[in-house]
Amino acid sequence: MSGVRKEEEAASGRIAVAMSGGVDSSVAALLLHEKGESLVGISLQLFDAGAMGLSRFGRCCSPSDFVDARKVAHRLGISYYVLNMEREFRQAVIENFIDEYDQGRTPLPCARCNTEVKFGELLHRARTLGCETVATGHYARRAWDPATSRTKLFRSVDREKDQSYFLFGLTPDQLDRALFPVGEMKKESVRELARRAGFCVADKQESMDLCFLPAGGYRSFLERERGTGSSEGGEIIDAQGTVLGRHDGVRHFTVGQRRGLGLATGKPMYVLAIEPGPARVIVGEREEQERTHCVVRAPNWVSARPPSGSIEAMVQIRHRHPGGEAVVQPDPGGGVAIRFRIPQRAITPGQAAVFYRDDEVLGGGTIASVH
Amino acid sequence: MRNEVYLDYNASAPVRPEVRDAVLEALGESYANPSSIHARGHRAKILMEEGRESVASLLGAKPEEIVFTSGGTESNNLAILGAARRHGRGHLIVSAVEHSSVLEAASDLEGQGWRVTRVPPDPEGWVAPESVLAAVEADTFLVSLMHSNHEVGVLQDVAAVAEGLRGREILLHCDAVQSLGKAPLEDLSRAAALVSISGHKIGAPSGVGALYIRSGIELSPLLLGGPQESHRRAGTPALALIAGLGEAARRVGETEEEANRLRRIRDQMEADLVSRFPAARLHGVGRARLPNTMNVALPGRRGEDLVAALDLEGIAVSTGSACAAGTVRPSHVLQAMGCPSYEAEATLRISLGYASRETDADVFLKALEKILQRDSGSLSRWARTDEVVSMQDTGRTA
Repeated sequence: MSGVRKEEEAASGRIAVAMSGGVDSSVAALLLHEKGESLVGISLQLFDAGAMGLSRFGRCCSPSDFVDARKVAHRLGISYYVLNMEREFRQAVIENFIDEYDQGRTPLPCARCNTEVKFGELLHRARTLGCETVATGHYARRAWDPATSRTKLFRSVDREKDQSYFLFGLTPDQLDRALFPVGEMKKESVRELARRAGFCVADKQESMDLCFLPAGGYRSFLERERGTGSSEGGEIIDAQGTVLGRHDGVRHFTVGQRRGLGLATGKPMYVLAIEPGPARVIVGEREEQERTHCVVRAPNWVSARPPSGSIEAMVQIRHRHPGGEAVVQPDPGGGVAIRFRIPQRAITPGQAAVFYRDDEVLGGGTIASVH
Repeated sequence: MRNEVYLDYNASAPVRPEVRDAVLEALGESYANPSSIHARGHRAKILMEEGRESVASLLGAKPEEIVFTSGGTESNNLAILGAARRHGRGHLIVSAVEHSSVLEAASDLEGQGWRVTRVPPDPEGWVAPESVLAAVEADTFLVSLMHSNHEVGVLQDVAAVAEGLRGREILLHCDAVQSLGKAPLEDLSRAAALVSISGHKIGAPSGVGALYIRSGIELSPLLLGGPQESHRRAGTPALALIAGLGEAARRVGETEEEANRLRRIRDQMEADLVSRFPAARLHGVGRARLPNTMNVALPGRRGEDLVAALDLEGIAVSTGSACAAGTVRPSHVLQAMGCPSYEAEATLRISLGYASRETDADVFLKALEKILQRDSGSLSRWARTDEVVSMQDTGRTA
């Protein structure tokens, strides 16, 4: 890939590999090492697992993950450091996570962590270590496009594991300085390589939850962060305005949610919308969740120049959503209006709408409103 | 291992070759339990007592006043907790810049009904003796003041505090872990009733240290289960490590010439550093310091980034912050000195020792120059507000 070459020449040649102690970032380091690159392994201390009520072991950012990352680095014979970014992670990711729920939206902290921490603070600080490039274990691909003279972002070869949805927010400069070595591989091959290299993490279980959430999930996390009873309760109504029940705070709800509504309507009910001002949660039946329009206020065009007119794209509205055909129409304010050909279920404010053309990520942004 | 310039003696000094020999010999020849009656036990016992004499002579103490421990942390814990439990509830005084093994022992007592006063230092890290004495209350039974600080190297006036406490029923404990081998301590046992030292700061292995307990002073032991160390510390002693500590103690005998040598290297390095990087801020220079320690902030960079970058150049130093689980927390010492957080985060500690040479300082400065020439871009998007203000003051782009 010519894009990769370009930066390697520009840089002093050293690459910072963000190592979580998991199999993907370990193999990312392995692949670069086998190519003869000069590497520095870096683990990010993002929060104090003990202080946040998480088990100190067996999770990302726990001492045992750092030991795993350290062992892999040692096996490869590369330098390894833990850099503390707790303050930045809290300001950039955790505070935003809590605020978004309080505004009735469902945050996407991994996307924020990528733009602000992994390809933000780490990219910034790695320069002192002589690294102009940061490699991660993300399943995504990037390639230099000579026609437009810029680096483009693509889905990974392993479509099941694709994480390009969480990377739509990278600026052109961030994408130029990013490397995703495992994006060209299937997960099974990644594990196989790890096994062959003798990595202790080869068969390590994948982390599915958000790294900073305790076992009780995000509700108990919010309670602890903001205090029990700190959110205002309100009414649960249906689309016609009929009061069906009460709730103890909008932050406990997400669009599309079915469980935990505490309603005795006899039919499964889903959250359709959340109104933080009057603290109202609007619910309805399964079919009532479908919407065709949403608005993104400040899209980031990660691979392309902002289009002058409307474009056709496959728009993905949540992780693992298959995408829906849509027209993306720029508005004069710099945002875009998205119109799906087929109505989509539970389009959720706070999540990202990411625009794809085949495997190419054109851009994306946070969903501001739905109608 | 690649070529390395080691400038982290305050964390741990390289084991001296003579010490390594002494440890190996002890492992081979004197492996028996020194409490055993047979000849091998006798030899082990002799080896241990030779070590005790060497340590005692460094502190101007009698051999029977030395109790071997597992290191500085145990010595400090035994002094603070042992004195408190022996005395019963009351009031104790510590300085705010003590090692965490003193501070956390004090906090633990506080949680169990004791009262603790933490005396803050001046902006240089020096604790005024009169502030310590002013904190004394009717039921104060213990004062703990370190001989020198592990991060900034500032020497405390332990003698003046001892003088002020004279005639009162108050124990003075002195954590001398960082001073051993770097400053003369022969008079310390007259000033303090309890003195902590550690092996691995003077070229012995880690895992061994000692507490001086003045004759007549009784502490409640932390470890129970045997008569070892005159009932003051149960458990079979780590004989080979003690042999190493004894040998290291003999090697640091004459400190003055060595201190002057290190001071010359350190002072030259500080002068060169400030002339090359005018934004650098040295900490603790306004007070008497250990000759080997330099603590400097390079605003706009993170200490841990610089430590990593220097390590990639083969140079081992520390951040100015205490290390917990391999990561960095803001240093309580720098915080107590009133150092702003962004500056504390930008701090490096460079500490010299017996194998340091003038050329080490040159290598360090050259590498630092190379690293600081690297573009760090603009300030982090998540820079602290005080950091942004400070950078604007010094004309850097924020």
